[in-house]
Order: sequence, then structure tokens, then C-alpha cells
Amino acid sequence: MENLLFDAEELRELPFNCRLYKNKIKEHAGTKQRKPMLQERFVNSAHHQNEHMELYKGFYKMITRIIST
Amino acid sequence: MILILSESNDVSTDFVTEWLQHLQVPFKRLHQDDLRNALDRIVWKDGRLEVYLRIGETVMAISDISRTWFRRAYIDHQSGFHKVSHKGNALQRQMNTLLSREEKDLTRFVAGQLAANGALSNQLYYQVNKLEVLVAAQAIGFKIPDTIITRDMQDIANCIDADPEQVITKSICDMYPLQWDGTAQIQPTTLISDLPSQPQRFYYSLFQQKVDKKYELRIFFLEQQFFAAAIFSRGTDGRDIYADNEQVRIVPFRLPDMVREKLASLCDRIGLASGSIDMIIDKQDQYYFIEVNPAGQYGYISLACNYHLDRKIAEYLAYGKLAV
Repeated sequence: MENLLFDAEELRELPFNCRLYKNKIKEHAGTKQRKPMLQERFVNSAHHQNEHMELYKGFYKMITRIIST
Repeated sequence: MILILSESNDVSTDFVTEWLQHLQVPFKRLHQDDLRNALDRIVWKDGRLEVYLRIGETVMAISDISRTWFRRAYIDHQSGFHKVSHKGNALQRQMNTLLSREEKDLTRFVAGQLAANGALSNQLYYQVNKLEVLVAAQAIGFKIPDTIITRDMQDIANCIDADPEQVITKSICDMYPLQWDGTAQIQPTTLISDLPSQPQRFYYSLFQQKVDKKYELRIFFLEQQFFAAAIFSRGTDGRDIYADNEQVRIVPFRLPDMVREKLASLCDRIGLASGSIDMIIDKQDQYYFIEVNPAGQYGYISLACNYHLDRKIAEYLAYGKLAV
């Protein structure tokens, strides 16, 4: 139980699948993030809006802007 | 002018906007950050109602918007009162509740006006009640897996006539990302035997018999047209390509007329003009209804099955009907 982020009393009040496990987080920490399903030709297209992507806390974050025609 | 309310990183929206450009139909795409307090004013004058939105420095009347596509972003309204008031007393808490009620009604009205003016989907129906949908699906004649919502592990074995190793759990509502320690965890459909521990008591949770599937169906629908794909996968969730450790096979699927009619009837009953339906076909070729996602992803189905759904959606937004 020491791996759980919540104690037994808290867990009794949480849904079955809605628990965070430290060991589970550690398992996935630092693993390579999947690249977003974005093709190169769309990144630079005028109407795609993704000006650039950056790795933010281990996640790809897309920066976008409003566009209109 | 077509208004698109989308997530900033939604690739499907990118494709649809490409088609709109190709069709030379003017549109404006807005993201969640643009939609906070987007209402400029509501005016009733001489019996005529007009709702104005303010987007950046531009004010536009809803009547000038020919159609709105609600694609995973919300119009919402929120007073800055909670930021400037630090009393932390009962009066402040009650005022927050008062504002929340006002904002909810305002948002509902504005979204409703956009929808009434012609819309694809509606933010008011981004979330459907999965339990009510199961009831509706069963009433229409679909089989649904044995399901139990309980607080006690013992009840599961008593209700679900299946090997305890073949029971899944999933959220009653949509998944919600729990962000912690630089990562995020959602609550995907999971075999309960796969979870690290299985407590005897917990808060209300949904458990379901895992259907012994031949394949899964993902069905995108738009105005009573259904675009179905069969997904061959060994994973609990057919879309989880990593559960299989191999590429999942997705092929176009022709729905039997009877199933299509039932689905059309279900969409009518729950008031959805667009969305994605999940079904499972078992080894005896029985159709199990699983759930409907009003704003689900359809891109992988479109791509794998050559359905060109982005073009169809763009044409629907532009012309208000689907090309046959």
C-alpha cells in the first residue's frame, strides 16, 4: 500500500479505476512520448496554425493561433 | 461565415478547414482560449433578438454565422470575481454559486442560439449520460453486456456471469486526465485483473462483462449516414494498438440494414446528429452496443477506410447537407 498516492480510507471513496499509483507513474516516467499524428506538410501549411511544437514537461504541446479566411 | 469551435491541436479540424478553403467557404476557427466570455451582448429590440460574440477586437452577430461546428471546444463565461475577492467567507462562497448559476444559464442560451442557427453537434451534448444511452440502446433492441454499478467487489461476481478475469471496469462518465508529478493518467477501459490491487470496497464504479469479441465496430455517423469500420485487435480497447504490440487492422464494414435502422432510431432518441458509436460483435455474430461518443475522434476511421469524412463534414458545413 505504500506505493499508493491515496490511503485506504481515501481509496474507499474513489471509483475503482480512478486511482493513481506511484509505481505506475514511475513505470511510464521518462518513456519516449509518441509523436503527434501530424504530417510534416501540415506543420508548415498556412492554414494549419501550428506555428511550432515544443516538448513541455514531457508532452508535445502545440502552439496555435486564431485563423480565419 | 462558418464558425468552428475546436481544440487547438485537433488534426481533424485542420483537414476540414483545408477542405473549406478548397470550397472557398469563409470560416473562423476558434479555440478554447478564445471562447472564455465570448459573449459581447444579447439584445432584444423591437421584438428581434440578436446575440453578438466578441472575438478579439471583432464583434459578430450570430445571425451572420451560417453554421457552427462544435468540435470539442466550449463557449463559456466566468466572472473574475473569484480572482479579486479574497474574503474567503460564506458570502463570497455564496456569490460564487450565484455567479456560477448565472453563467451556466447564459452559456446554455448562447450555445443554444448558435445551434438553432444551424450547427453540427452541440457543446450541450458533448457528454451524454452513458447509462441513459445504454437504456435507450437496449429499448431499441440492442444487446448490451452485463453491467453493474456497485461499491462492493462481492456484488460483481454475483451479477456478472463471467470469469472474474473477464470483467472490465470503465468510467461512468468520460475519462478525466489526472495530472500529477509531470504526467497524466486517464481511466481507460481496463480488465480489473490488470489493476495492481483490488479493494473490496470503493466508490460507485461501473463493471461490465468483457464480450468475447470477434471484432469491434467504430461507427461515425452524420445526419443518419453511417460510416462503419471493423477493428481487429486482441486488446481490451480495440484502439489500443500498444496492447497488441502490433498494428491493429481496420477495414470498412457494411452494416446490416437492421442494425443501421436501429442506430438511426437510437440517434433520434438521444438527439445526436453526429458522433461515433462503439459496438462489439461476438463469436456468435451478435451485436453488442457499448457506447456513443458525441465528439469522438473519427480521423483514423476515415483514413483507414477511405471515407473522406473531413471532406464530407466540410461539405455539410458549407451546404447544410451531405453529398450522397
